[in-house]
Amino acid sequence: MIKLLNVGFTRLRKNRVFWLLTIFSVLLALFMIYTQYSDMKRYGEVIEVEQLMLNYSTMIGIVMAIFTSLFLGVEYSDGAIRNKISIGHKRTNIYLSNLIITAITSLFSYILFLIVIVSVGIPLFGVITIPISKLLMLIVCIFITIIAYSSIFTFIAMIISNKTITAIVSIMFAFGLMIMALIWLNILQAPKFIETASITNGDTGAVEIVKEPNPKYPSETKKKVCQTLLDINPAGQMFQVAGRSAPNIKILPLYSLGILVIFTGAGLVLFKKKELK
Amino acid sequence: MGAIIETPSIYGEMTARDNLIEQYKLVGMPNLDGIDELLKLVGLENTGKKKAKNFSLGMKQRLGIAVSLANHPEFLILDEPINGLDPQGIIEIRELILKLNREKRITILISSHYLDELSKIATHYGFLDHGTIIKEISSEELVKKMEHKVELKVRNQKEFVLYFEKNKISYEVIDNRTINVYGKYNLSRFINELSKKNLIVDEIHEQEESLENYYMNLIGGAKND
Repeated sequence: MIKLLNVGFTRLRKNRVFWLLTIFSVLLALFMIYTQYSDMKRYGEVIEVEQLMLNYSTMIGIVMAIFTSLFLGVEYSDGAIRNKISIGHKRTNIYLSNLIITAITSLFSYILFLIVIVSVGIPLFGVITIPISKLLMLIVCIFITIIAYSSIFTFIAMIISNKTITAIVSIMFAFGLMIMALIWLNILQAPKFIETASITNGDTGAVEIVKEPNPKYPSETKKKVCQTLLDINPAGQMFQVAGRSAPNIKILPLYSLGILVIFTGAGLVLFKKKELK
Repeated sequence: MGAIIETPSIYGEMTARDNLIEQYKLVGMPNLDGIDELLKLVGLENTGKKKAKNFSLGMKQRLGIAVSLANHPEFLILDEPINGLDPQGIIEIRELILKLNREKRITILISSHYLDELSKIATHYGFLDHGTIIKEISSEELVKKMEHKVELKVRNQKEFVLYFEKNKISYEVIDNRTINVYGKYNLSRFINELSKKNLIVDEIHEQEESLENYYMNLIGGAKND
């Protein structure tokens, strides 16, 4: 396994997609800082550095889908997997080494983003205002969700031999997770009452707002189901963490670890049986 | 043991040198010594920063061979090494294989459908049909089998045999009417000589066996067994 990891990281250092990912992380951080700084100067807004630190989490799934499919896709197309097996490396080790490499690369991308935000953002916007322990908990949640994402995209890349199909499936899956998360968030954020009319008294000028129960307001059962699905969905976790509105934040890492176990377990079983032509 | 199965396993985005470094690490070599010599051996020492995806097919195949030599094997398996190559590429691979065998003393097992190309380099042959080896033969024996021959259909076979023995003519009795005579002869003079000895030939066929014909006859024989 050590040899496989060594080889993987050596290839990573020379990989164009990895360097694009690295540059993207830095530029994204700088772009966010720039836009927030412009708003601060123009509108006098108060910018929280801790919020900037959490923002990348909402889109990192897409980034990871692209990186993983391109980086691991060549393992099949260039015959690397066949070569590794013919040398004597076990399929389990090949799978796990690829998972570790993609997870570490994705975490590196986020850490680089954080470093830029902190080193440039704090001098511009001021120190972190929320308790460090709370911020650390949010960041740990993000990191564990990144690992869960890695397990999903590694599964796709190791099971599908075609690089193009891997990329399409991974990106569609990432977008699918985001869309589902947004749908459930929308359901959960539906107000209990909606404004149907406003009546202005002609004599007094008083305005009376008429509210009625929102027909789209979910039942308690539906809310629980949506919340659970949102908590399980990695994109849902990221949205909640970025919005600092996760009611079950302590359970989120457990769901992520569950995803990691399920996808890695299934991936190992399928990869061991896969016909490698 | 080293092997190239179907296509060479090389990373297209990396240079020849980087591909070898990857392979060295993968097989657990203690250091990177010998990479330059390996590149020189396969004729890729001047590729510099050129990425493998921009190599010609022949260059990719040579790099694949270099990668399979990373762990200094004594035995190398090459599966269809010249498929898709142009004539120059085929010559390059052939010369490399001969070099590896003669200079590095590496035994090479080649799987190929290019019989004529194999006939230029192989020392032993194994013919397969539907996954079964139907014949194993050395190149010396094969050359003999493919020697120029004349097939004679005769009536008094024993007298022919006596004549050939007496005159030290290389022959092979096939059945009670057929005798193969090996070697190049002026046919009219040969028949003339035989008729002077009252040796009458009913039919005569001149044959030069190619490896292809030999293989087809072998397969046909195997099917009829």
